[in-house]
Amino acid sequence: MSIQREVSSGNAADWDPLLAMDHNMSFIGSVGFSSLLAGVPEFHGVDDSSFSSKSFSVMASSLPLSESPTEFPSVADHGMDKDLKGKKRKVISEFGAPHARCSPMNKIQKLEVGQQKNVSSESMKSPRENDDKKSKNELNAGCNGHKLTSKQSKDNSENGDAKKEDYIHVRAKRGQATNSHSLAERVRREKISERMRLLQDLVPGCNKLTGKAMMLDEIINYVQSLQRQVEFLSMKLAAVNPEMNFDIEQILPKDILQSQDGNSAALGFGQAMNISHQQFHGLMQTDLGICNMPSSGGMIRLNNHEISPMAQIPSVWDHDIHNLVPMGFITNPPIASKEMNGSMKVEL
Amino acid sequence: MKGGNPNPNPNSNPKKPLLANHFIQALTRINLAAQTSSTRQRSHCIKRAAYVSMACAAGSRRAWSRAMLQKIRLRSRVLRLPGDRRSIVSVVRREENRADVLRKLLPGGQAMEFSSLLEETASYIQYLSAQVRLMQTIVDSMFG
Repeated sequence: MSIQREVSSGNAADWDPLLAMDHNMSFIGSVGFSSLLAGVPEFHGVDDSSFSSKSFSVMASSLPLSESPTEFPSVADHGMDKDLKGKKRKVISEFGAPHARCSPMNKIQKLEVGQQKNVSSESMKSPRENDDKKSKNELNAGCNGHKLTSKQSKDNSENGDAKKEDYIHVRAKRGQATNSHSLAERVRREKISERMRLLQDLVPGCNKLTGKAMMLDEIINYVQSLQRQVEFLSMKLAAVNPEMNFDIEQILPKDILQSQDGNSAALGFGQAMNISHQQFHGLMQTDLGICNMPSSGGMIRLNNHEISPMAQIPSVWDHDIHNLVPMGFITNPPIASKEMNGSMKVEL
Repeated sequence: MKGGNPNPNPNSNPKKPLLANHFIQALTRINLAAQTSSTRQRSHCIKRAAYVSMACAAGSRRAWSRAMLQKIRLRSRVLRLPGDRRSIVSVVRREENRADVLRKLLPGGQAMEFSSLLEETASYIQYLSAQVRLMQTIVDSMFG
């Protein structure tokens, strides 16, 4: 801890979280060494804390003081895979902003800029910008208790939308524990509360409820009730289906049903629907249980099985089409011109 | 098409065509076998078709849809023997907390951590409610 204080004389407040994180990592090193690595502990807030400890030990073991500027990039490269480069750059930008005043930090800044060139490639550039913005977001978010320096406030205004990253960079707020575990725990809790809020919007009647337990109860009840509804409705549909079958035979003219061609079938729909519309509704008035078999015969063979119910259902739903449009039924163009003003797609 | 109805929920639209198409196709298929099956069998098939349509509409992006499709495919192949019941083994009932209950409800929920469980539940609720609305509309249209 004392080592850090030497380095960051002016920025004690800003250094607090980093100090604590650094402390956790249990480095043993000289001033320069630890100051270099002080930039890195920003990884800490990330979910993958195991990684961070590993990389630090790699660096800690292999970096003598004098060689640190040059060796740091190579070790860093060596120790990190592609994912981690995002974090590394995040650190760099983090340090670029508030700590420019400190001369050792300036050194680090240059070092890490140089490091960036080593790391290379343009694929890094855009994530780097994201890191910049994201880190600044976090920085500003986390600096609740801190005075914003002028540089920080400038960075504030520069913030664009931070793009989504895989890693959630967390900065411990003032007065909060900066233990690696508690940070990860905080991230997890925030994720969970965010999802609970999502669920609150989905489940009706949850707006007043607060607290995980009651919310979960409500969610469970809702899912169970939906599942029961599916079961109940499927029983209903099973009961009704035989009538559906017969109605189809009554409604559609034979030649339409036996048509193999998609186009003609589609057109046939249009015609059939003009006819069937009134017919079907006439049927609906009568007793559903009684099936009036057409005189033409018992079984009309349906060559194209999918066509027939599609013909029937659109006609039925002509009145209910405003309900169905959100359902997203899309229609073939020929049908669209007919009475179906909505959308029904016949997927044949 | 979809713009005809002002639907405030942005999430509900993209999956509905798949859901409806698949389900109606399945319904018609079950329809045609109506003479050869009992009502109870048909209702079971329709229920399964409902869940399959949901899972197909959700695609393989969601853990619950993947788990559900797997389960259904497995079930259709494996014949259930009468001796399969777990009457012999006594199951120790742990005290279930709410997360466990939710895991049992959600297909594939056992292997998830809590935050992804919540996310999957949200998606599951979306699709489930869409399916219920679809089926309700079909039933309503049939009964006037």
